[in-house]
Amino acid sequence: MKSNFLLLVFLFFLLFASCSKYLAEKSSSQLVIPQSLSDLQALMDFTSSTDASDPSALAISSDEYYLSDNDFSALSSDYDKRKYEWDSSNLFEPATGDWYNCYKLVYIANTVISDIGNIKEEPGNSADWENVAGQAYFYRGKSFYNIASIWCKSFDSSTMKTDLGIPLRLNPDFNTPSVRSTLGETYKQLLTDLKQSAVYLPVTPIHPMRPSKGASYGMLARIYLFMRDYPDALKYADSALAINNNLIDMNTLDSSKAYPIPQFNTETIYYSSISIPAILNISRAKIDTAIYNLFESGDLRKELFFRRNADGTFGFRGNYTASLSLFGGIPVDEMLLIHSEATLRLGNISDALADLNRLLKSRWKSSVPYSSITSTDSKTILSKILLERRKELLMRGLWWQDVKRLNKEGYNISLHRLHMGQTIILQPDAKQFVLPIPEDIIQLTGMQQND
Amino acid sequence: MFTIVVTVLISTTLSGQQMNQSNISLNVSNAPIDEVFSIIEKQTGCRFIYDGDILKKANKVNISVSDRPLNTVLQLLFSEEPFPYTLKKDMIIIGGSNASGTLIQQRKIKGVVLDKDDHSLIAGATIMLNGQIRAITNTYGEFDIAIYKQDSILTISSVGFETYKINMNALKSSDIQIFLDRKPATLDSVEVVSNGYMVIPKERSTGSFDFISQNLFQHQSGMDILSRLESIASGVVVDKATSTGGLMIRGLSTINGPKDPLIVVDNFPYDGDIANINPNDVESITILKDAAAASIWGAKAGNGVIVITTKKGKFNEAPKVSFNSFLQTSAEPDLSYIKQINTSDFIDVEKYLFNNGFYNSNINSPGVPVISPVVELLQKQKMGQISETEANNEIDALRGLDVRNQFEKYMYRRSFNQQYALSFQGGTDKLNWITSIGVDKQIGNLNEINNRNNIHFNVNYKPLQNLEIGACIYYTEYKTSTGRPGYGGVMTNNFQTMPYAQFTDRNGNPSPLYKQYAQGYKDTAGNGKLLDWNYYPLEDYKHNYGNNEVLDNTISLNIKYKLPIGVSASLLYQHERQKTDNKQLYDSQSYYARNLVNYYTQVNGNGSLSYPIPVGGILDHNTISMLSNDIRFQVNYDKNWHSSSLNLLTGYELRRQGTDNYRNRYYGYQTDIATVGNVNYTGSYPDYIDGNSVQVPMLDNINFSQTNFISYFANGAFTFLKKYVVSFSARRDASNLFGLNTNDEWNPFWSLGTTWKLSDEKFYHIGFLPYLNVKATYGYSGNIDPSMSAVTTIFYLPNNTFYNVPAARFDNIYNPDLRWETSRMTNFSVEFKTKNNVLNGTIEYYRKEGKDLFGYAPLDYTTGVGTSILKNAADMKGSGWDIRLIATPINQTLKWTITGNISNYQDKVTQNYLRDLDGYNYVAKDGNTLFGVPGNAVIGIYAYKWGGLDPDNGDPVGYLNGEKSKDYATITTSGTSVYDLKYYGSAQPTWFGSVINNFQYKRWELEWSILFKFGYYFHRSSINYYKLFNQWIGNSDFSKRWQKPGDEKTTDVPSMVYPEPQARSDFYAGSEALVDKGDHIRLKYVNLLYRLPLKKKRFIDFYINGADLGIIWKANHNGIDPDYNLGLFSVKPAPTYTFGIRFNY
Repeated sequence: MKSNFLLLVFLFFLLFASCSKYLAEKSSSQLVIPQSLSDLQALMDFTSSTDASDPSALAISSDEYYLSDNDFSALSSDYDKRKYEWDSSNLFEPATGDWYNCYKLVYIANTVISDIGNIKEEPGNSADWENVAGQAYFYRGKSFYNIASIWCKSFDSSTMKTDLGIPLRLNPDFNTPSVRSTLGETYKQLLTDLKQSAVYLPVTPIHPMRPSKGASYGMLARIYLFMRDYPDALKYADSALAINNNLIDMNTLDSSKAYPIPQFNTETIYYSSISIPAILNISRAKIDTAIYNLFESGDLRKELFFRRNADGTFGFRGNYTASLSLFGGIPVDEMLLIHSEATLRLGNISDALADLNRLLKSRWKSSVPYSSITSTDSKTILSKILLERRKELLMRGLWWQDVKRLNKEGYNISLHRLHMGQTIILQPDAKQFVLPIPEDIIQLTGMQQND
Repeated sequence: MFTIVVTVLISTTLSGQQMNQSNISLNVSNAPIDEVFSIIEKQTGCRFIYDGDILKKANKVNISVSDRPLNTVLQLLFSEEPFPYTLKKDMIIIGGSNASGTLIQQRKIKGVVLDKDDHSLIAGATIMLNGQIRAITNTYGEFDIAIYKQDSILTISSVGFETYKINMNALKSSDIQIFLDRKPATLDSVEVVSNGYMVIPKERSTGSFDFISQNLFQHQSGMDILSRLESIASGVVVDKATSTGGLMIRGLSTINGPKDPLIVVDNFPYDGDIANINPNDVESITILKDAAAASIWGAKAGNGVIVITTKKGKFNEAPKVSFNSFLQTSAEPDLSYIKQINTSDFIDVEKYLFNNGFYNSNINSPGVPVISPVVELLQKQKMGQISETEANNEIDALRGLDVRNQFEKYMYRRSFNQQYALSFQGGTDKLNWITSIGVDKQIGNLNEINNRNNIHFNVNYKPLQNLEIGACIYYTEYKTSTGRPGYGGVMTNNFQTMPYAQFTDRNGNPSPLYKQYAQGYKDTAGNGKLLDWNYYPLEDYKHNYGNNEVLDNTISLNIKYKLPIGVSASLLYQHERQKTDNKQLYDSQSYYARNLVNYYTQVNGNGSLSYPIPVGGILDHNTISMLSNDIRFQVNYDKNWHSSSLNLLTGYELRRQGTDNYRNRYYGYQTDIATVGNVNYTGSYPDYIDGNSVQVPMLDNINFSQTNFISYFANGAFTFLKKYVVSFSARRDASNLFGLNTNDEWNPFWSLGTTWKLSDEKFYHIGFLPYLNVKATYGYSGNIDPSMSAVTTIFYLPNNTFYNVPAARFDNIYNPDLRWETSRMTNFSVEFKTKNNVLNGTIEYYRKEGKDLFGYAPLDYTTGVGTSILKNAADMKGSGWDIRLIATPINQTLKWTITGNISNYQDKVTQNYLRDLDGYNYVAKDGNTLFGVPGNAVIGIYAYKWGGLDPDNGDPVGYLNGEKSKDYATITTSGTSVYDLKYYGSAQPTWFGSVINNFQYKRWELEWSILFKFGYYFHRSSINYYKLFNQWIGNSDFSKRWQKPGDEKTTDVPSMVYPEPQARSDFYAGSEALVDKGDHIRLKYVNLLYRLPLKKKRFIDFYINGADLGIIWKANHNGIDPDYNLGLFSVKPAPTYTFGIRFNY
């Protein structure tokens, strides 16, 4: 009996001897300290943080749609109502929303960029390594741009050293205080990130939700256009189109479907979406009849883009998401329009017209003869292109940015709403074109508010 | 106890030997003979037996002898007396039949000694006659003695019990049963307390223990253990007022860490669900309250420890059978307690909103969200489909309805619980055993079913003098299934049910309730090709049921070997496996399954249908299997000197617990043939209703987790002169949890304590307090939160649904400064007992300081890691009194005992490193937020300052920068700092406790417990127009709203306006106008017991118990029971009545 007992004691000590291994065991199978490329990739494949992070503020603030007074009153979010009314404070609910989502994506990118530095790039992993790094740079650059588009003035090289930029968070350490950079620094950083991503990313991604070279080029083209840097806009639109130049022939679409344009369609170079708040729901947001009337009768989009409500109003259903969500990714149509405009502004009228006609033809009913736009007046063509931007890129959160850049060029576009029996006008020089940073962020960081 | 018995045995043996040899010295003159008898009795230990009358003839004695043998002295003595004597063994019989014919009246008495509480037999009790030990009870509690007429007082005593005296003249029977009262637990000098590592005599303990005996514990009935503690234990409060509350021992020790006390069953922390344990298997519960008591549990003991000791057999114990059974029932709850808006008011609100066009976007939405029957009628009227009169008639017919009646009629019913527990136990000198079987069947108010079966087996074997081996098996089978939906459980979508909803049509047949989509749409969708899209509340629960089955096996072994030098070594091992199998089935008839199938139905070009979600039921299956292994090696050293002792204990343990979790969803499940369908998770489909691109929900998941602990511990006590005790305790823990820096992996916790038995000092002369003991302890315990981390970790999720690759999210963020929380506690206590034990009690004062408490510090979310981060954010201080008093004002045939537990607890935040001072974080909206302002209670009640109602329009008025303001958006966000709020005080009771009155009269026992909670505040809910409009949640305060100028003088309820800014509702919900005092007194239970004695020492107890009998007094005037105030839908349970039988023999 006694010897048995001693044996037990001995066994117990034996168990104890492997103590360090015992304490090093993983406490959950799914819990991991991110170390490998696949861990970092998995963080960026969690689509709820990467896909749906496109901001909605500019779509809400835009005057492409309107609400009936009843629908406005019935809305529950005071914050979105204030965005709609172009108020100048309390536009963002504390601790959530666009600021939160955009910077969350920045954090994922920063973690990947910081951790991938510990992984050696070798011939065996080079493709994966560059793909992962490229995605991170893309997400950071894209988020920085999205943030700047809401909370900063339109880029202007003459004032970029004094205009306020955004806080450029470049590492995952949350103890680093957030400080606003200048607009020049902001654009320098986001362009650098996106250009870096273009170097690393593959031409063909496994899925359009994964960033690719085309996505980087497309994003750069979009940004350079809004920066009014037309040579660069042309260069990157050209690169993007070199990878994907497909257009949907809208004659092939079935207008009886609730959302006729399919998801992940052939024009989608890169897919991301704007998850929309109640205010933009198709049951409330009505497209201005003036915009609807811009579409000619031979234009397929007149039917495919709009849902005719019982009361004669129109809702927008032309989303490349095939759902209520608005599209925020990089499509061929936008690239073509950028290409067209930039070409034109650089003096190449015929190429500009070719782009424009190619796009429009794909939107034109095959039963109705399409008459190509022909003109030799670049001003006329430019206005055609800009009109087409308004129509083709409707409800993609881009109109607000077009207004901001075009007003820099003296277009003097003001925004209008008929609201509660009154017309409210946002004048071209209104400070509300730069949205106020969430008040709680100002309190937490002490950074400077937009004025 | 053992030592005492041995001593007594030895001394009786000695007295027998002395008899033959002892010599006598006597020197008396003219003394009464009985005086001389007693001197001789004292010197020899022998006894004189005689008839009292005989001595009347006796002469006075004159005798002087020195050191003479007994025989000689007796001859000398009786030579002068008129009666003879006989010497038999140690008895000197005077008179005697052969001498005078006056036969000595001798009676044989057979007796049995039992424990009054549980009727267990008491072995080793001492039976004394007139101060002389005559017998010791055997293992069956029995004794036989012969008594003689002059023996007048029979005294029965046993360690741990009150001494019992009987006047023999009053004794008629020769077969007697004697019931001994246990000595009061708190002060019993031999009472032992267990901390899970050892059993310590209470006398030697320095820490704060609360011991709950089985007797007190079993005065409440039910399936669970912990809920009984609040009304009987000291310093324990169940916080029902805050959503984060629960059972707390001595208040909070943490702000955001885990708040549950550690639960130890026998030797090891219980990893299973505590509901597995049958209360009938509980022998006693010890609550460890201070650092000295709890620090041996180290990092897990910060919130206190509850040690549950299960029943064990005893060596040398007669076989015993116990049985307990009860039937318990409670009526359906009173739904009128719910402050639901008046139906007619609700309809008026709907009309008002309709006229404002509030429903237009829903009516026109392609998503066809549900609209209520009233709105549907109004719309029909607007479209000219029905006339105004028709519409009004139909609407007015709804005004008298109340959905609460529907719930009362169709959903709730009387609950029935049955419990049966049977146990056998016994023991010889080498082996003891207990085995028990428990069966519980519970059918709740909503027909939900809880069935539990327990089997418990425990055996201890002593193969050798120094070796003891024990084994225990505890098997539990616990099945629960869901029943009908309760109030709040029938939803129309994200909305509450409208107050006029009906579950049947006029003929009493189940009728559809408008749910999720517009009824008009459902009626026509698919032209009959789709599955029925209606929701029938009275049918649906039959097709929508959850079953949960828990199997738990706990096996433990222990081996203890004693070495002669005072050292004993023990090895303990426990293996627990708990398997939980949860099935939620939505069968093909359930709304849930029909709705999903319909929603995903695809119409093909040729009009045929295809089903991405196959037609059939949906089964969610989740199995969790938990395996834990604990092994502990422990060495004890005990050394006793004349009046001092040293007791040391040290050891270490390994603990390994793993959980495997599998979750699966099966679509297209056919119940009868158990087949499942196929789905494509990565495909996107346009939904049937408005063509949005959607994917089939994927719920499959697998997760394995493993926690390992290594701990070292030591504990010691030195007792000096039986008056002074010094103790210490220390422990270090290490674990494999992520993020504990190497330094923190080994985290020491320690304590010191001392006891001084003041009443044993020579200078102590307080006559009315014969017992006085003071104690003091100091020490640390900790709180470990497994989720804290000092490295960045990510968590893998099921594959990305679009392109089927692994996806992960951040789980913890690199947080290098994170440290473990520590809790430092100082405890002082005084134990006292007045003369005759009329009053005894314990008064304890403690202070505790929590350092480095976890807090979610608001974070600049520009950082991207969220809006708050776990930090060691605050320090707190708490202090309080725990007073337990037991008074016995009457102790005759009627015995009246009052037990009072009075606790005071106050805490405050001393440091708060959170820089966020925004007021809205502190104001309760729906629950209570845990935040601290230095100087205020850790969980405090804060409210927006209230400026009354605007006399012109009934708007609520608040304050902004000290000025009256109606800028609600700013007041409820950045405009109000925490210092602008009104602070009321603690959200938790600062004074609480219970008073238990117990009356015993002959065979009857009556006991009731009154619970009180004082000194705290709560936010009550009122009408929230935002929720009324958007979620159909209406409060009856609506009828008190401001409607015309002048109303502001009589009401605080704001007017209804449209549109209602959410901030206006938020402001009122968080304002001073809705803060009430929580103070209340409630009758917790009443217990009446009748003890029926049967022949052959058997008894049956019959008992009736009433529990949750309601509030006796409350401070608030709004009809709110503060314990049932979590939102509008808190249903208050009806009283529970129990009828039971218990017997032991």
